[in-house]
Amino acid sequence: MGGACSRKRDQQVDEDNIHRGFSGRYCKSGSSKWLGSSFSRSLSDVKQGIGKSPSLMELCTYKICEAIHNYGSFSMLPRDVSQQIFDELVYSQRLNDVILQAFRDCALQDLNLGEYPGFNDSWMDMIASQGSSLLSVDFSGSDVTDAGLSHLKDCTGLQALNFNYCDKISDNGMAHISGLSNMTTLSFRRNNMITAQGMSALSGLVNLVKLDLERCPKIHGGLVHLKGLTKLESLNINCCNCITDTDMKPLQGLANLKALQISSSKVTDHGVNFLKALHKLELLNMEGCPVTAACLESLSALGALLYLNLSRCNLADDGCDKFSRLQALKVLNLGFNEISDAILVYLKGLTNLESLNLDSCSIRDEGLVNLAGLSRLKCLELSDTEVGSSGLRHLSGLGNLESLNLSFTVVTDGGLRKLSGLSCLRSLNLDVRQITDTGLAALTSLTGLTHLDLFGARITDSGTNYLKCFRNLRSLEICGGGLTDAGVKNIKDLTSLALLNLSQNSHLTDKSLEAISGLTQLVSLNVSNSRVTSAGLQHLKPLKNLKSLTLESCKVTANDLKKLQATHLPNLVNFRPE
Amino acid sequence: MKKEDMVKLISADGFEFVIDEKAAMVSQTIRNMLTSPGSFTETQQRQVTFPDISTTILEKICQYFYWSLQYASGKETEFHIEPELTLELMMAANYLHT
Amino acid sequence: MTMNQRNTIDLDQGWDFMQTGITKLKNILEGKPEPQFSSEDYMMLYTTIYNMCTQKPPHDYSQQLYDKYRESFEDYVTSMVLPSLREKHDEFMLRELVKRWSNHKIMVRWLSRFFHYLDRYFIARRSLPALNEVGLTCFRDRVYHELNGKVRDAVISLIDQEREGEQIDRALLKNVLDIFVEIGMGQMDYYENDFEAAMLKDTAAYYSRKASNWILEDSCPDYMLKSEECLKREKDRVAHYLHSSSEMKLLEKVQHELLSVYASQLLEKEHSGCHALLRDDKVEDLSRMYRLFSKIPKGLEPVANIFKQHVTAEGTALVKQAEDAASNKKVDKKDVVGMQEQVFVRKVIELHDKYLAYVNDCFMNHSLFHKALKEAFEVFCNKGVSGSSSAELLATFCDNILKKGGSEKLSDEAIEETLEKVVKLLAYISDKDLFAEFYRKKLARRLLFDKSANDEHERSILTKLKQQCGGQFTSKMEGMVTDLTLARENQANFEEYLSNNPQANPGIDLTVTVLTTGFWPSYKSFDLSLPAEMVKCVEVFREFYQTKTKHRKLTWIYSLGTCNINGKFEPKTMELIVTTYQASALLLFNASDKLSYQEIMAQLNLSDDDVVRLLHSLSCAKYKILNKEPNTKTISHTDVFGFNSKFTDKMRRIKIPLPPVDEKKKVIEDVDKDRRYAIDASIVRIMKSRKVLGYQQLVMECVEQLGRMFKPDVKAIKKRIEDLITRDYLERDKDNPNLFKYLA
Repeated sequence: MGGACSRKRDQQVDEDNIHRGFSGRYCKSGSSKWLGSSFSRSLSDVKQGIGKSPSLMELCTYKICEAIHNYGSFSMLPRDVSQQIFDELVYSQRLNDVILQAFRDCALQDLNLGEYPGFNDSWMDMIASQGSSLLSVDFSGSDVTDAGLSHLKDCTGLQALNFNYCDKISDNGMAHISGLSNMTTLSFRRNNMITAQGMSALSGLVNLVKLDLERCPKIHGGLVHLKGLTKLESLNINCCNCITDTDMKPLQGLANLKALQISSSKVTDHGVNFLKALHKLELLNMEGCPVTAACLESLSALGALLYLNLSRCNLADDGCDKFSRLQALKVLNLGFNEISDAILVYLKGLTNLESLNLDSCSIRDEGLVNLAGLSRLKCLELSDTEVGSSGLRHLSGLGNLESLNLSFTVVTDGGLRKLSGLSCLRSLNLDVRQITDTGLAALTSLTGLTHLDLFGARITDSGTNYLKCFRNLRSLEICGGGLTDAGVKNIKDLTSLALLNLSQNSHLTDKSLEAISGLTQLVSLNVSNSRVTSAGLQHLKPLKNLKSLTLESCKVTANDLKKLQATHLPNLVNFRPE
Repeated sequence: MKKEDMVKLISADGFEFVIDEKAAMVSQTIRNMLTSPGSFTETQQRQVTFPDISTTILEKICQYFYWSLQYASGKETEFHIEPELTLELMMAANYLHT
Repeated sequence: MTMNQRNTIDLDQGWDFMQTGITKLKNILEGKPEPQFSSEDYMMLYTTIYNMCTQKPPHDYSQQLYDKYRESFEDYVTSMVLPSLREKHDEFMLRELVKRWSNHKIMVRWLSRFFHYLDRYFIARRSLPALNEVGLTCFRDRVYHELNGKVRDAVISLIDQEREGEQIDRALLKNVLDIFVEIGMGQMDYYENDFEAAMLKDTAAYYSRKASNWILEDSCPDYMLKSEECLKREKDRVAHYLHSSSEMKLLEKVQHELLSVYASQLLEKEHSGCHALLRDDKVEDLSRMYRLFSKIPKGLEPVANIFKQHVTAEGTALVKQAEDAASNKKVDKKDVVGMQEQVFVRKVIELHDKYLAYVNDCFMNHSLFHKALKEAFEVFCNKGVSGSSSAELLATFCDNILKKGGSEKLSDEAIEETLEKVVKLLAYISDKDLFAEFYRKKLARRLLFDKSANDEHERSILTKLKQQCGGQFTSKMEGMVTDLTLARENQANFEEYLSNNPQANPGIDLTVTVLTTGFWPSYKSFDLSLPAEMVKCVEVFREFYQTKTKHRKLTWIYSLGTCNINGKFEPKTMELIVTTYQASALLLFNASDKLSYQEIMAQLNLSDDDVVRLLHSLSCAKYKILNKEPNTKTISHTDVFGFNSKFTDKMRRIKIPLPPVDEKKKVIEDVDKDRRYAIDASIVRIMKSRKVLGYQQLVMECVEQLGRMFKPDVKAIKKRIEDLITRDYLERDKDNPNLFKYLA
């Protein structure tokens, strides 16, 4: 029954990427990650379990929202009731500045209006009317100005405030929130105006636990005002390229800090030195910072560290022996550094590691022997390394491995037999030109695979026979050019597929589209660079879940696709050519 | 139907609705009361008065109880709500936790 | 719900009303006269909370009511519960606590329902502890924290009283311990830290005290009896009032104190320990020992070890006994020594029966004891007695059972059973191939000289050997038995052939047994130059045989032949049963009265050994058919022989035995040769699958692969490897001489 309070927005997406150890942008294995998140929000919030009826509260809420113009004010309702009506209006995007007036003085607690169309300073008056009841406000992406922000001055109960991407708010606005000392969470990403001076307002927010300043380019010098915020547990200043070593100094006293993100800043080994005393630190993201292996001297004091991202730093082999001290590490990202497999011996003892990224490092077969004992490893990224077939034998005992990326390595068909026992493997990237049908044949025991990337592999029609073993596949890419319509027929039974990429196979015709017309779970389809024509589009009509369709360099026009979208594929949001 | 399986709900204006206990228990508030330890035994009157709920609304509520039971057993019909009753009904639903 | 604004209830007014309800609830709990809540009461209380939480600020009293909800419990606990508990002690205190906890839970259930609206929005939005939790936590923080030490001590003291045989109120303990569990609200921490840890410590101390006395006073069987009883009682204790999660920990503690601590002392008690129990056949105590020691970590290993020592000692004693008997009797006749060996095998079988029964019954078929038994038997079974390997002894033992007139007189069932056991013993013999070779020799004799007592037994033991050692082991032996059956048919056909072709009849009765090459032990063939009479026979049979089969070549083994010939002695004519060798020699004297050793040897075309042996049998043994000059007891190359026409005997028909050559050496040589091929094959097979392998590993795998048949000598393997290298099967790695690669 409808007992829940307001919905909480998920602001964790970016952090989740870090927790997985890979930064999504550079990780080829993540090719299908967006499937779950980046399209419009799902309806699961409202859906009830089978056999459970909607509560009367819910039924009334829908009814009211349908006829919202009949209601002048909800202020006589208990606020728990009006809050539910408000949330539903936001969710169904029915709220506008007129309807908004009905919620004046309703003592609402949560106003989650992030990215809400039309939100501006004029709405702030109504927001302020909730008074001390207000607990959280989100108007990120709106045109609110300093003047608008001033309305919040008296909402002294406010605990969470989010004005990400509000580029009209400046130092002056910050002054208005300096008295909101109940604040625990504050976020203003990508603000180009706020400087060290505006940051001084933060010194009053003594209860702050979480602060997110990602992509604020002018905050250099402002972190000194965080000195007294000893309750702070999470600080995100990713991509603030103004941040230097001196900005790290004020952080050294924040003993409760658990998560610190300073990626793409100018912090060097010297700056890391200030972090030594942060004994509770579990997550440290320094991706793209000009630090060297010498910073490990400071990091080895951080006994609680679980997640460490040193991707794209200036690491070299020298000094990497200190990795062996980071015993608690679960996730380590070392991608794109000038390091060789000589350092892997120092990771040998990190038996808690669950994820390791060595993308584009100088890793050769012999070094992998040091990974053979990391039995908890679930995720291993070896893309663009010098790993070949003989190195794979060291991986054959990693029974918990769920994800393995071998793209652009020098592995050959002969080595893949070593992977055949990795029964937990869900995701495998074999975008390797020298892999052929023979290699695929060696993998048929991996029936749990959900993601298989054979982008550049030389798979032919006869190789597609082996695909039948991978009944659970949700994403598949075969773009080596060797497929014809006959091979695509072997794909038609992979009914779990949500993503299918068959581009670059220039022999495919409309018959291929016909063959896959039964894959109704498909969310994304790419058959570019083929002989598909607009006449073939009719076969895509049953694919009601399709959100993305790419048919570049085919005999298909943007108009054809628009028509298809309008008549049969209402969920299609992304198509090419457009 | 045995008497003990029935519950009497009384509106503000004194109108009585005798309904199945199973239906009444769709309301968490009524369920809490009926299942409290050592209370409302057979010797007691199994009846509840709602001084703040009008007859019209209580009738609608009772309809909802039975509709909900049907829905749960697979008969997924629409529950009609008159626009003029909606706000009052929603407040009652909030009170009855249903 | 009316849309009209209700009258605002202020905090004091609303709370006064709630207080009346709470007081009523407390009175009911305290057992004071108070009517039950009516539905009216209930709804009024719920509604009051509902109204006070749904008023607009500043009249939204959610926070205040949440605080007061907690305070209500605190008040009650401080003013009523704690005082009543503080004045009571021991069992009375426990009873009061059980009652108070039960009341408290009722109070939480009621109050949390009155205040239910708080749970739905206020508490959920702020992620605060829910009402139920707040209520229970209050009891935990105020009552439990103050009293749990006292309660724990009281409970433990009752448990100790029960251990000493007193009656205690188990239901009470169960209820008290439930509090430790329930107070954790799903976590076992409180039970484990506040009660279980101390209880386990006390248990350890209690049994440590007990054990230190018992180990001095009691014999091993008595001690074990007591331990078993204690464990049973503790288990019972868990079932009645401790939490089930304590069972493992509790029993582990008791087992540790009673058994692990004193394990070696107990097992090695001089007059009643494990050795003594085995010596005195105390099967019941041994079973108990197994039950107890199987529960402690590595507990069975010392028991199995003692068992192994014991069996090894008993077996070794048997070996020594047999050795002694053999050396005492050596001066006497050889047959008696054979008897001694027969007795030895019989005793080994009995020993095995006895201790296999121990393994099965006392030690519950546990693999550790099977291993101990196996290792013990392997020790003394491979020792051999007075120059005979046990492979030979076993083969001889079988022969004695299976041949006509063997030394053992047994019923069919007893024979079956004995054979079964011999085959079991074979498992402990490392040179199984040697056994096979001896067995085949003996089997050949039984079959060819019609000495086998019973076809069925012959087939039955082969079936048993096949099960134990595999089909390859017995395939030749089976072929031998089959050959004999076919030979009988063949003889009948031959006789029919002769009666149909009377012109072919050589005038001598001839029986031929055709054997298949390969199944049988290797024998010398075509060595003897046959007397003319017999050459004719051979020709006749060859003709007959070619009518039946083409492309088969007959090879004649004269050394296995037997002839019945008539000797026309002066006193009387007698029938002599001799070997073909002997017959051929005697027939020479039809043409000459005297022949020198050299002449005989030249005419027979036999080796010195054979000639000496057969002439000895005819001139120096019991029956002197030939006279020898000079008349000495041994044969020399210068002797001259003549027909003894005066020879006579009281019998009409005599058998002149030709002592068999001692085959033992030859058997062992044959086996050695076979082993070389087996090692070759094994190395090649391993290398074929591995392609590249280090020396150590190759030897290891080879030993493992061949172990089922025999224990190969590492030196022999090394030699075979070198041999295979020269034959280009293998090559050494250029950089690492200890690494081999497979070629071809």
